[in-house]
Amino acid sequence: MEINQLKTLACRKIEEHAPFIENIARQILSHPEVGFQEYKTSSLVSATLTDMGIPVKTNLAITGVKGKLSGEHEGPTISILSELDALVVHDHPNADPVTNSAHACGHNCQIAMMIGCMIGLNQEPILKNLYGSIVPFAVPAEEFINIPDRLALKRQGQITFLGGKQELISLGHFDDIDIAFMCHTASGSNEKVFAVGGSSTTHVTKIVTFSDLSESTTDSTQNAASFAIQALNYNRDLFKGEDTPRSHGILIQPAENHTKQSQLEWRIRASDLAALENYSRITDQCFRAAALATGCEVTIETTPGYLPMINDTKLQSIFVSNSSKLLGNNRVITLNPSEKSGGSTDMGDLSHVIPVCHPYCTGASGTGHSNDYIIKNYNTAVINPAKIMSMVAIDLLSQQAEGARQIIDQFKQRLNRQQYTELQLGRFSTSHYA
Amino acid sequence: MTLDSLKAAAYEEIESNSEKILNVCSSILDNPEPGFREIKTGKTVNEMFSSMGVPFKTGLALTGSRAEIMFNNPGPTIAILGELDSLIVKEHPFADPKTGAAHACGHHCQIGMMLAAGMALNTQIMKEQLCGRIVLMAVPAEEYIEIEYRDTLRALGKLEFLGGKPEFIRIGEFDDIDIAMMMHTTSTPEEKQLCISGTNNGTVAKKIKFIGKGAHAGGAPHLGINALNAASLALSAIHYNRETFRDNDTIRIHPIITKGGEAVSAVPSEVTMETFIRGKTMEAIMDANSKVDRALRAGALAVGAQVNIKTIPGYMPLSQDPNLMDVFKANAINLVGDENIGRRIHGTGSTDMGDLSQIMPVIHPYVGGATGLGHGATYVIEDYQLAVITAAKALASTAIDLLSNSGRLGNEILGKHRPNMTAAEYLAYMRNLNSDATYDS
Repeated sequence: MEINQLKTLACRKIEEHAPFIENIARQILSHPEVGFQEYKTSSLVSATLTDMGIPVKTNLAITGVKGKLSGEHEGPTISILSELDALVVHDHPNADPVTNSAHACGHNCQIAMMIGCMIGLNQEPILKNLYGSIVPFAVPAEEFINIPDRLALKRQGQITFLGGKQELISLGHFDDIDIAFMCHTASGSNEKVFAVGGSSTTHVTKIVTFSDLSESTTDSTQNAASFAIQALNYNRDLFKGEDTPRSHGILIQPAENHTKQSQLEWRIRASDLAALENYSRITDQCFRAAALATGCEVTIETTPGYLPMINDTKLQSIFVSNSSKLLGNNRVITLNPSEKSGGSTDMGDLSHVIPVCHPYCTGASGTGHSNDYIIKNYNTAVINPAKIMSMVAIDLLSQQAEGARQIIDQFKQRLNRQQYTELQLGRFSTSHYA
Repeated sequence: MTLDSLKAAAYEEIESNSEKILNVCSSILDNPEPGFREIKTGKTVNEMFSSMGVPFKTGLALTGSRAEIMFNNPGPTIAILGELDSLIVKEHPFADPKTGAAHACGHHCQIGMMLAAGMALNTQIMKEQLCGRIVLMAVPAEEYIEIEYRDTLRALGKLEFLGGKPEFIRIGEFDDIDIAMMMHTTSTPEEKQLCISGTNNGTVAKKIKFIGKGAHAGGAPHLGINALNAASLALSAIHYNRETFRDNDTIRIHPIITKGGEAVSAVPSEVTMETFIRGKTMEAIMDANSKVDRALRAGALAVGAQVNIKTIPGYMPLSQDPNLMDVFKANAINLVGDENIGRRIHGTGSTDMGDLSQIMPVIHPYVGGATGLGHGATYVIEDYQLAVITAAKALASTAIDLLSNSGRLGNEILGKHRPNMTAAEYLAYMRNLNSDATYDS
């Protein structure tokens, strides 16, 4: 059977199941769960895949679900990823009233499109022509939030890293995967409904604890925190635009009700690790200065965040051809890698280990991570990317998996699992200044 | 002879010399000179000492002088002080058009009252009736200004301290003095005609230099280290510490930036600041001082700059002898009536009379007659009779009380007084306050 016929079959089946697929996105929207706590979402994924006859492994990095659909022939393994977790946006219209968590970044659509893609591929005529396996992989905790909670999990030995894919890589759950891709929703112009390329930043997160150990009745720690923020902003001139530097954070409530203690959760981002290291050093300097200025002590607990995103250009071009085919040439946009997003994703970590692609589909409106981020068009946010990913999978694994093999052969791995784990473990640090 | 008739004689002497005295005040007002530059003012004082026929020494701490009135019987030595210096207030109606110097704090009246009190005591009848000595002191440089200029004098070895009275202490001019007193004019209506005052803040001064690294402010700011940002953060850090100061300690910290950069197109590589740190006790001042040092270092550390901090002793807190003040108060009530006596518990400004108060009993009460804001362009003397003549009478009568009856009251006050330190200890303490340190970030 010809490739185009296989693709048509996949798309037609996705179309037929569109209401079911969209409903998955809506269902997850109604029970948002933050990273490493996505129990309901995880159960929904494993139940749905099991119903489709796809065997799954569950509880990977606490809540991850990994299925496997094999083609008739031996060959490479490609993975379709989706992210289980929600954000915390208390005033989002779909926020959980108890936990304040909300899908303000469209991850609910990712789960649905992954299921949709598997529905499209899971049919006899297609599987007969595929050389290799497709792994639907629902991963926890892409949003790098609730750091104190996750550090508590780390102390309990439940996780080593604070991001889902970071944890899964180090645990070896990507060892059997040759290529991975996913698709993220975006809000923006409906003219260009599909975007590939670009890159993202690498980051660190710091839990900064100011303690006022003086016998005075005054508590200087909020002054310390305030001074630190001021000092950080006084250093903005040192941040070079081409590094896409970001410095942002929040004042958090100390985990235990310590008197005379204030905590900041601060994040620094940049386009590469060397620049990040420099900005991280400047940031620590400001925290030390704040302690000195107010006579407090400060503990800075630095947690490694994500690595910059590198899209595999060959895989990306397969996305471009299939999305153009489905949507029309003029509706697909290719971003240069220099067009960096200030955001960060653990797909960047994975991109250092295996070839990946992380395109965007429209369908949302509003501002990401905000109360107005709403999925307006489930067709463009779920159904189209499901179809595109199924077509990409067919391109990769049909015809003796020639497409996948070319990508695997040309891929220059930056870090293997061991190297990756060592690099990231080395970025944890705790320092104290009195 | 009764005390009352002695005082009456003194008042008469003051009244009869009032025109001469007020002319001296007017002449000093017209020739204002800031501290350690009081050449003309010093000359005017010395001419008066000459005309009074009292032995005197000149050129003390550059421009100061002191005259001596010896009484026939032995007894304590009382100094009556007048301050020679003016401020610099260009907009003041009596400002020197060239230098901007102006008597915006009424020191010209102090010279007048010191001379008038001296004249009242320098008579035959007093020589017979009183004991001990009166020393009239014209002291330079009470206002702590023109630090750069005074530093130059210091570098030339002409001074060690930047205020007149600390210098007088250093060169031993107070070694033979038992009790010191002076009065200051006030424009505060609540302080009325004569004001019984209490304590005053002491102070230390700081000269601060932030050293960064210049760079093109538009082209490559990331290659620079912004010294102005360091200074600005340091100012914030100082303010962030204000809540830790106790109300009782009346801490005052009021920095200024004296150089804020070279050109707007360059990242400022050097920024300089000055500040005073005032407080009610030396302990409170030194606590605030260490917090200021910390804040300055934090400003530098936050942006990766260097900071040089020079700490210079200023004036010590003023504490007045209560027994001595009682003597003054009784005379004040006699002169103006109880209803015209004001009260000031604590002043947050500083005076080098504070330094003197560490080593001997002193008083520094206030006399009305001024209007406007002290140290401002509006501060002028409206009632010279009160500000000079009545003040002189209060000083003279207090001296008579202390030195009559074989100095009984003066000796009693001396016997009860416990000085905080000796002159030698004072000098050692002041020298120890000096520091000069550079901190890398």
